[in-house]
Amino acid sequence: MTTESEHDSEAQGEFEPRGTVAFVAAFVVVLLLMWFSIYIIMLSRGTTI
Amino acid sequence: MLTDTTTTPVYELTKSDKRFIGWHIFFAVTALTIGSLFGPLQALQLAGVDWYPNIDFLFIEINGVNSYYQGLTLHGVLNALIWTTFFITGFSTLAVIRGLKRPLAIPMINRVGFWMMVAGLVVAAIPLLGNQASVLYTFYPPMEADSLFYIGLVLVVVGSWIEGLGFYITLYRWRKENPDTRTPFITLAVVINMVMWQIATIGIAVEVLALILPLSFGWVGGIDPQLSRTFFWFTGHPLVYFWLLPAYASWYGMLPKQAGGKLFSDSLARLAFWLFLLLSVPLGFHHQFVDPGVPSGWKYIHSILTFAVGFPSLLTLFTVVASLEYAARKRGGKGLFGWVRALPWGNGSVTAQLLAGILFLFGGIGGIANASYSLNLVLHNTAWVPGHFHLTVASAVTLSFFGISYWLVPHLTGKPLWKPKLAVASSWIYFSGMLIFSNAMHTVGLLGAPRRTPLGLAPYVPAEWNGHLFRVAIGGAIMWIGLMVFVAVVAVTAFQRKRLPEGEVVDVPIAESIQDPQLTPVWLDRWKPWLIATAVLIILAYGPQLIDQVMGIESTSPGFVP
Repeated sequence: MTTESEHDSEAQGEFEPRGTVAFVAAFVVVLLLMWFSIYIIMLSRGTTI
Repeated sequence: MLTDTTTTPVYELTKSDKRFIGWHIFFAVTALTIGSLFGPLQALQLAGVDWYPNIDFLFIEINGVNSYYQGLTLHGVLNALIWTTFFITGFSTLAVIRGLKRPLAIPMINRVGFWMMVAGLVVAAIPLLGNQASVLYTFYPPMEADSLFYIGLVLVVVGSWIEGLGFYITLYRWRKENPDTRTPFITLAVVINMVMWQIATIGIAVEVLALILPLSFGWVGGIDPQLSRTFFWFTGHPLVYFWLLPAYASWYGMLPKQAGGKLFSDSLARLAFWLFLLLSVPLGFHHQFVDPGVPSGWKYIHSILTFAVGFPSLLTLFTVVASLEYAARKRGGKGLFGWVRALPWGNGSVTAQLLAGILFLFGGIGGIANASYSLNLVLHNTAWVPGHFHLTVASAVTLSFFGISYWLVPHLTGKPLWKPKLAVASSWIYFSGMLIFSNAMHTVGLLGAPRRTPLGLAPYVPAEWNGHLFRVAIGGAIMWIGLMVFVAVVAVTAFQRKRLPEGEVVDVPIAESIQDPQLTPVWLDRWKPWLIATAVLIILAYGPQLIDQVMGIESTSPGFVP
């Protein structure tokens, strides 16, 4: 069990998830690259109509 | 004391509770063990190495193609439906009891539900083993299985509903006694999952009871495959979230504690789960992009809604990674990414869940491609799709359940984990196999290799597929080794004579949140607005199309027994 003051001190502490922000940003970049690589495959196969 | 303001005294699981949950895990792991025997056989068959004739004595019909489809059906049903459903209901029982710190309100309800699931498993197993239900786990009509297969599945689903009812009554009584306390996250998470499951399975219930069983009993001469598929995918996609959300519950509510930290944000965790309730169901048409009976406009709407469910997935990515970063920095981790090394990689439970998360990153990327209306045409019904769902149910879910089992089995049995280093190794072996397998399946899928096809017998396989299909076989075999190591670790743990030293227990790792849960907004702990919004969105997204399809039903396709 933790007290309210312990919670507050931790919540207001120095922790900033900088690594997490960088990680999520990198993930989004990889996602976009992979999505567009498949998009290019689709375009390379030409129209299907 | 803001973290635990409940007036209920602390409740530890009784022997009876532990035995009950243990039965769930026993049936789950048994199903996984048997179902997984067919995994490498499938993978080897794709590479042209057909070992099915060597086990023909297990099958009634001695035929390579029949064996392939019977094996694939057993693999899908036992692994994707039985392993998951039994594990999830067992884990949810623990999360309700331990989260609320009170026993189940009416244990008999849960026991009836569980044994109904077991009865359903036995009933479905009869035609499955007799090659009378080799219709794959999606059982698309007009393919037709023996009636017992469908009756068995109905019993499994209804049994899980009954277990859910037991959870609701328990939570309701707790709420009555604790009106101003935030529901413990771990309990809220699994109950939201059960509610989502019950809403989602209405689709499959209608499909089986109103369309398939009348055909199977011979009461009608045909079936409408289009309408059946619509009802199936009403359930089919949220089924994936039914598998995933318990893993997420562990990632949010347990893994931070195991890693030495706390949950980064209780509010974000709850918001993600409510959004999954809201958005999991009304998006099934993205599985029917090439179905001619569904108008393009509705497919487009469901495509957009599928992207919307990516939002709580990204919330989950951010919150879980932030919780891990918090833990790692407390353990001395440094650098923008270097903190990852400070996580407790020597802990088999943690490692399994971390590797599950890593594989799921790629599953998420593939999912976005699947959901893209035009892009889907490149991937549809290719080997890409099983490559994708092996990254979800067979990686994110299954590896997470490995991790949970590594503390759950010692907790339930009072016995120490057998060979903890082997537990770590099991996850790495499985992870390595999955990397090879899923990469090859995605690649060969992009090259046009069809799914659900015994390619080892197909005369049209081009040379450029061969290398990838060989990697499918290698990866599948490695995965199976990793899985068998997992089974050995939990089985020996459960059945060994050695017990934990007197006074020592393996506790349920429930993570605290950095911020006091009582400071979480009330609207993130109230059911009514979320349930109303969920119902409204489903009606808007499915209602007009369902009315149209039901009004235009054409039960003209005769059943086909494969």
